Amino acid sequence: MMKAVDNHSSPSQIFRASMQLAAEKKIQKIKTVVITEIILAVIPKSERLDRLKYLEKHSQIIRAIQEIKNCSIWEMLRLITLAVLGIVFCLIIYILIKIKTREENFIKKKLLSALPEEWQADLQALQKRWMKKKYSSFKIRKLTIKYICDMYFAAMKIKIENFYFFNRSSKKEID
Amino acid sequence: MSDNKKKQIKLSALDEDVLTVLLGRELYGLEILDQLNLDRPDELMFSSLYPALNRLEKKGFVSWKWGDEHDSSGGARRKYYKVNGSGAAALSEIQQYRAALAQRSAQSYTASVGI
Repeated sequence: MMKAVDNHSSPSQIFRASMQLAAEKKIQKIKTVVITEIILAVIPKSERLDRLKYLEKHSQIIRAIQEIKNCSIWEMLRLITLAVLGIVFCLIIYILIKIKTREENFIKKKLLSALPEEWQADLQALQKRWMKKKYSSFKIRKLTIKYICDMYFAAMKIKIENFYFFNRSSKKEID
Repeated sequence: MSDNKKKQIKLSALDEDVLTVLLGRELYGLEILDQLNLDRPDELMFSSLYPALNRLEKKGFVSWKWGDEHDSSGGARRKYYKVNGSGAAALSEIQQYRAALAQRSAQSYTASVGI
């Protein structure tokens, strides 16, 4: 590229060469950077201003500007694509969390339904209390699981006591 | 003495506490637990309360009825417990026994010290 352009090359030649390079590399940003650098490197300092003024008038410069504009559009499109992909990714994670929470709730409901109604009422009253205290949902979930386990332990104790001390079917008593 | 001993075996400390809390009022599980935990150094959990209530119910010391309140969220009903006549009598007996026991030990202590 640099070999093809020397000090005597005209601006149009320089531009064509730079465009060729950009087309080869297919990187829009490099196009403008290379064009500017080549123009500044090739043209002597004393002539730069005049040449640039000349180039400004030249139609090829307008095309170059259009190229730059296109480049920014592509850049924006790339960013939009990335943003869309990001949103899709977040949505997938959100859906997965929702499914997991639903599964957890389902398990909790199943576990709760096996307990006596008055015990469920006690747990609901406790949950309301925690909500009033503005506990985080994570803490409420943790405490709920803890109390469900405690209630299952109570149910087990009742079954054993009923079996040993009252000699009755514990299942009937708990239900 | 042997009769008192029988009563002592019948009611555990927790059973006695529950009966004391329920005496003269109707409370549901969580309220009983709150009342018991008010001045308790170690927190009492449902795993202790429910078996105690079950024991008292089996012995016929407490009775229960379903709560009238209807939860807007369609929640479960509460079970309100209250002390029966036999429960109150058992509690009174065990309290008398403890009072007598305390009095006797105080008397023996006074005699041994020689006051």
